[in-house]
Amino acid sequence: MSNDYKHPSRAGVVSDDDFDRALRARHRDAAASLSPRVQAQLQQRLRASRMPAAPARQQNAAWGLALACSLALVLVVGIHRRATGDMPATPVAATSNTDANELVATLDEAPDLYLWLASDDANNMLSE
Amino acid sequence: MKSPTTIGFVFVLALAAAPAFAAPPAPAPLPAWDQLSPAQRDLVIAPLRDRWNADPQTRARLFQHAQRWQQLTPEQRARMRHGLGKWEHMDPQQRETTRALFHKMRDLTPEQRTALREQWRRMTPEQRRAWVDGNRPPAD
Repeated sequence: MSNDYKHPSRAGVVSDDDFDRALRARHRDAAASLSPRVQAQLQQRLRASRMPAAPARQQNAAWGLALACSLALVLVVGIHRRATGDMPATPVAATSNTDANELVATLDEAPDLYLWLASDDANNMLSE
Repeated sequence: MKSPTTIGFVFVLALAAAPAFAAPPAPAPLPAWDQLSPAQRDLVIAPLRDRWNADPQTRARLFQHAQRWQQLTPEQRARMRHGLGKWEHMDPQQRETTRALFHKMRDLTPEQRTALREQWRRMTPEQRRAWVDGNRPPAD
């Protein structure tokens, strides 16, 4: 350890340069006495503290990617539905398709035949 | 452990994709016939128009059936729809049998109907087939 530091109470008035040199010498001595493991940890923390902007940029990029993927997914599903006709059709078209056969069949046979077919009499004779 | 960025990514993805995968909205209820547009009415009656135009020989029969349908009460129309449902599940031979039995029973007295029911009950499948062949209804 260096001995060139003199306390003002003992050495009288000390210039700022002398005081600065003395403190730097003390720091060198203290740093030299640290174990390699502690020195490595300190250097790692020093590097991390000097790069605060990098993680923020990564987060912004991730959010941007998330939004872009979401919009792309919505677009793809929408196009697929339109192409495959999965979109809701007009209600009248759907109704007319399902009831078309019934509409024609209603007049194809005598209404009284359908009435008789719904009776117990027809049920007994035709189920035997 | 998942980072906040990953959780946020998944959340935004799910939020944006939800409308795309949601079930299509239910169609709005249709109004009464009088409130339909001419185009909508044309669309609904298109099958009947085709049927009418396809065979001029059957137009009188279709018209007669429409007149009879108009005479039915709402309760009879409901029962008719029930019978129509059974008809639509029948094969051609069952329909032939139904036509023959209906037209025959319609022209009989109550006593004669009871006799036919009893006769029908005792018939074998072959005898019933022969009875249907001998009692085909005349064309309307």
